Amino acid sequence: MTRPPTNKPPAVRKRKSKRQSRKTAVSPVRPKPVEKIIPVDVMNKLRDRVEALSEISSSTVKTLDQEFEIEARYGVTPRRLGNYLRKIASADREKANTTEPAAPKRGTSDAWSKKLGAHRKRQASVASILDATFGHLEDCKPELWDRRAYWMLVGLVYERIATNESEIPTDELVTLAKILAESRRIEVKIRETSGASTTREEDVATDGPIPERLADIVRQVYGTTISNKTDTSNSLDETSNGRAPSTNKPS
Amino acid sequence: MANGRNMAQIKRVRNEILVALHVVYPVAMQADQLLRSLLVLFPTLDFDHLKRDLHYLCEKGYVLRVEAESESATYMTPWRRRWFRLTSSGLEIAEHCVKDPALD
Repeated sequence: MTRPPTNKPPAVRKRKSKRQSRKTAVSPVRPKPVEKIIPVDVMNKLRDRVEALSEISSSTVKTLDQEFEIEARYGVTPRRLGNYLRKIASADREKANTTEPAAPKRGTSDAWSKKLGAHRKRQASVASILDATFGHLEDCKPELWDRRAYWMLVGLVYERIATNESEIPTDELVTLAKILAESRRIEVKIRETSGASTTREEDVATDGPIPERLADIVRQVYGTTISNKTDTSNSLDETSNGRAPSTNKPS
Repeated sequence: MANGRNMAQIKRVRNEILVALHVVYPVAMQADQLLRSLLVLFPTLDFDHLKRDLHYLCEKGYVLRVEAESESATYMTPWRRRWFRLTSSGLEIAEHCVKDPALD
């Protein structure tokens, strides 16, 4: 089949205007930037070398080129390399000149961090003392010698040592532990024998704040009966020698 | 500002409460003992502020009030003599296993 003739005139290719030809004209290939040609590790080595230099002369660039085989391996001419290195060096110098000391973070002043550091040290030592004194919870079996006495002791040790108020000698600690355990044991026995719950007055007496001195603690725990019979200071001397305190039950 | 304290101060105090209870974990501590130990770091700390923070931490579930056997009427116990201990979730916060933006 033949196609029917058409009346259309043959297409004439229009000439492109100057502007159009400028648009579509192929631009000359821009060379890749040096930092994209040279691998990062080589670039870092080069940077290190440049940092140590005060001036980058053409002879230095040649030496670097030979050393790292820049032109041979990556095709970067020494001239380009030199320009690039000088650019880096000047940028680094500017950065060093304009860099200001970083502003301290909010709430992290030197005084606070010192104070906190000292407190943390004390806390760490308290933790190690507690661990050494009581061992792990399973080992020391606090349920056998009353939970509250155990809490009181641990809290007391923490409070005294963490606040750095005063030292607690081991003897005093042992005495305190025994006194507390003994007093609680007696309380439990009394409750069992009487069969009645404790009155509010008794609770208040045992819940009172822990006195500063051991003598006062003994007086509070054992009441006036023991202090009337024996001199408290003598009993304290006895305990401070490392011997176990007398476990006389209050009458 | 809340009760005359800024956010940073509040966060610090709350964090330090957790740290103190973490040292003695699983033992409980009395609020009074906590206050005394915190006064080293925050000399102007008011007990009412501590009470407020303990309330907050209890509500968050990080701290638990422990009732001693001798407390016949627990609501009658003065705040200073109440016992508090770290819960398991509080321990996770104190050990930085879990992050809480309210305490960071």
